[in-house]
Amino acid sequence: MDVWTYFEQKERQFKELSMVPLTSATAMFAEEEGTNGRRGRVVAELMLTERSRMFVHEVVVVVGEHIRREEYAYYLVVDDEEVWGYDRDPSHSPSVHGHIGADHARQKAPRVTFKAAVQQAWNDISALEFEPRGE
Amino acid sequence: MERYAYDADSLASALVEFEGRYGCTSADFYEGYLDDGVADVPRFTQHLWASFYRDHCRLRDGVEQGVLVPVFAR
Repeated sequence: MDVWTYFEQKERQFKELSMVPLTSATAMFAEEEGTNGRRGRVVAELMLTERSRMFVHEVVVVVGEHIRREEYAYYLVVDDEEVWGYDRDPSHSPSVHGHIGADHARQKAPRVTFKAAVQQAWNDISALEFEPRGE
Repeated sequence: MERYAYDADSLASALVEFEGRYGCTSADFYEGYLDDGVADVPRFTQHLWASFYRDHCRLRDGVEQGVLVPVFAR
């Protein structure tokens, strides 16, 4: 197991979840120099609809035969506005938190998988994109 | 899939781009980020910038920046 195995899984997952990468492959996946594929990053902008994007960042490390997400950030953006985000960031306490609500303040949130965040995004987009504007 | 790698220099290039776009040094940004965030910088960008900055410092100097270590892990 190395990060490239995980990156290939991730690329397939984007397709399975009906997301189109807008980030070039060269910028989307990379390993950290000198780690022999044991540590790396995913940075991606993914199109869900004409108006909606998901921004993804993960720092992953190989632990035994598994991947551990040391950091993650999953953000839903509709019409260029951040709607919500889920983070795991070791510089904050608690490291796992969300930015949800009108003020985007940091608040408690459960640890989320990438798949769960995407599913929530698809659910929320349905409501947001069909909400009458200016009412 | 073609394989790419990043190092301290490539992270430094990304930091320069953030600094130019938002008009502050990465060190100043990171100080604000650790507090309550930085106005006018989207949250996702803040997360990315902070992460790149931490890794850049670690790779360049071997110094972890502002990472909270749980007491039980010390």
